[in-house]
Amino acid sequence: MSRVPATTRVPRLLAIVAWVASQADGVPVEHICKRFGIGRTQLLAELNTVMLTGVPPYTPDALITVFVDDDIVRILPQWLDKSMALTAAQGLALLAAAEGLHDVPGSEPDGPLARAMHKLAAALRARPGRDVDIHLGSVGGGVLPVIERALADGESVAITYLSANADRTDERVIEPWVLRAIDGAWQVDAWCQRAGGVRTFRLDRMRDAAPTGEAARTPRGEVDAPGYRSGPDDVPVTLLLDPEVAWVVERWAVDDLEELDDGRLRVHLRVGAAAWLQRILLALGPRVAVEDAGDSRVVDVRPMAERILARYGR
Amino acid sequence: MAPAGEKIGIEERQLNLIQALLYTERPLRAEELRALVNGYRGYDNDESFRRTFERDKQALLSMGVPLVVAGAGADGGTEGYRIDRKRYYLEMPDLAEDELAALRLAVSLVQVGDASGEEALWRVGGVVDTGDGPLAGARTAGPVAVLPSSANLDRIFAALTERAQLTFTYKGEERTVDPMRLDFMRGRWYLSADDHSRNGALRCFRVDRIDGQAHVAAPGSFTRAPDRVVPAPSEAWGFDVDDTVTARLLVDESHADLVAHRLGDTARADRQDDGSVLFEFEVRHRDGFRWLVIDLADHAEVVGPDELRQDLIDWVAGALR
Repeated sequence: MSRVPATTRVPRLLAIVAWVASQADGVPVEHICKRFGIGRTQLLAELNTVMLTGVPPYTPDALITVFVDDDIVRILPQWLDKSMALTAAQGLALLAAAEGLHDVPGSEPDGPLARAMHKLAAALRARPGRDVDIHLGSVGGGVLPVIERALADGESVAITYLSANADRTDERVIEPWVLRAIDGAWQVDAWCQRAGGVRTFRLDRMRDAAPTGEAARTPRGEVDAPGYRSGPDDVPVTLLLDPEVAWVVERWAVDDLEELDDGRLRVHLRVGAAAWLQRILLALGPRVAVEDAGDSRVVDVRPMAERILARYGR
Repeated sequence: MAPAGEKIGIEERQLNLIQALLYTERPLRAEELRALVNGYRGYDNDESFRRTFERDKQALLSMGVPLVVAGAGADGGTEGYRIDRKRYYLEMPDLAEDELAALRLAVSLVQVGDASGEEALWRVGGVVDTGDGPLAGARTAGPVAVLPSSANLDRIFAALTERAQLTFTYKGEERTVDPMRLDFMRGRWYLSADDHSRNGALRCFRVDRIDGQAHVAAPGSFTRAPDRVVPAPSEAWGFDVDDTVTARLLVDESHADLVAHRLGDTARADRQDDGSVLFEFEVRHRDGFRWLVIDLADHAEVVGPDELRQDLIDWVAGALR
């Protein structure tokens, strides 16, 4: 039973009073305890407090009535017969959670989550998918349930993965540890048997995922905060970005940032995969300059440019 | 009920205060509340009453109690308090047990900020546990998504649901808008709104780029046609910057699914005999389109129109000069 701070006891009590009052036949004490995360002794003490409250002149008819017979609680709530409205933050938290999960492949269009979402949205006057829309990340229908099952069962998964860094497809066996939606992409942190370490895989880059039927071999450990994990072979690179493209660094793991007098941004970062950086340098074109690189091959965009142009017969 | 002169517990006092403020037909002054509400009558000392009353007021506000401060004297000059009943009482969605359980699963997997969602669940009927639902298997590992929260986000949501105009500073300029739509995508919140500073044109704002505090006008300060549908914000290539052209992009089989996810239902996709896919979609921002294509390296080819194809060739060739 989680401990509830004093500042949340009153709103919880208001919710309990309104909910029990709405149950015509009363509610068993244990049921209330479970539903509102409160211990039996605490609940009975708080109900005793409730009975002392009401409106002036605090005559018996102006006080809340609480009956506890045979462990069944009944409440005549006076002015507290309906629950307090959700705050904006609470309303958004519930609606966003419902919509976010509903957006996941496999969610039933008419299931309990969908029904709850539509009822909530109607009460909040926010049409789901129209006024408020939550898109956690893109993912193919088949991959997510496989990863989820492997997480739940502690099994490994064989994947065909399109690596963003190495720019090729390969086969791996991974042991999923943590599933997350970050920056609009579903990712799984997993033990990669081939790499012998924890790696992050984007689900939209998995072309295929199939359970191996084998239990994971490596005990799950702590996973670092999401983001790029630099390796021992990473190359330090310093870039100068024009102001209009400075936004691109928002999602990079950079070592240091410095704004220059002319408005440009000097960015120090470490790069593990040349192909990733080369594509970015090509896309930025004249808006980026390489100031320094630990290995000039990493920032040489010519081979990548030639590959692309070859596709156009150039 | 405690006899006069005896102080009672904070919960009892605050429950009495809430009920008195719900019950009253007119705003009650602090001194009236002191005389009326059981819990304040024990305060003989003016200063200690004032401090306690202020603390209770803050506690009520932090719970989300819609406390109305209005003139209470005959001349309307003295401050009085009451609770707006219409806004206090939740029009409770009648949630069945399986629906509450589904919501419980949802808030345990998808969080906004660091709020657990538990207190919100209490208000709609309590916390009902379940073992099933989408992603239920991923639940043991904590939330799968934590969406960024901010005070401005809450204000925007309130304004959206209450049809209240919003005023805020964006890119150094004050904007007054009618909020129409709130989207979470690519890991960020976006507000789509009719912008009075732009002749009422629909504009999209990144919520985390709003400077300072957004101000919410009175509820109902604008109206929205009930059948109005506002489109979701675009991906970078859809930003309203250049003339609209329909791009045709041929993507290798190996990368086709990835592109299909990114384009979503905004594109037409034709699978070719060799497994590659020809995507057709609208482009309104050349820079954004170039990013998309170059990110695919030589696994994609712009097959039309000629201007987009030539633009890409020229841009990439520029790197060889």
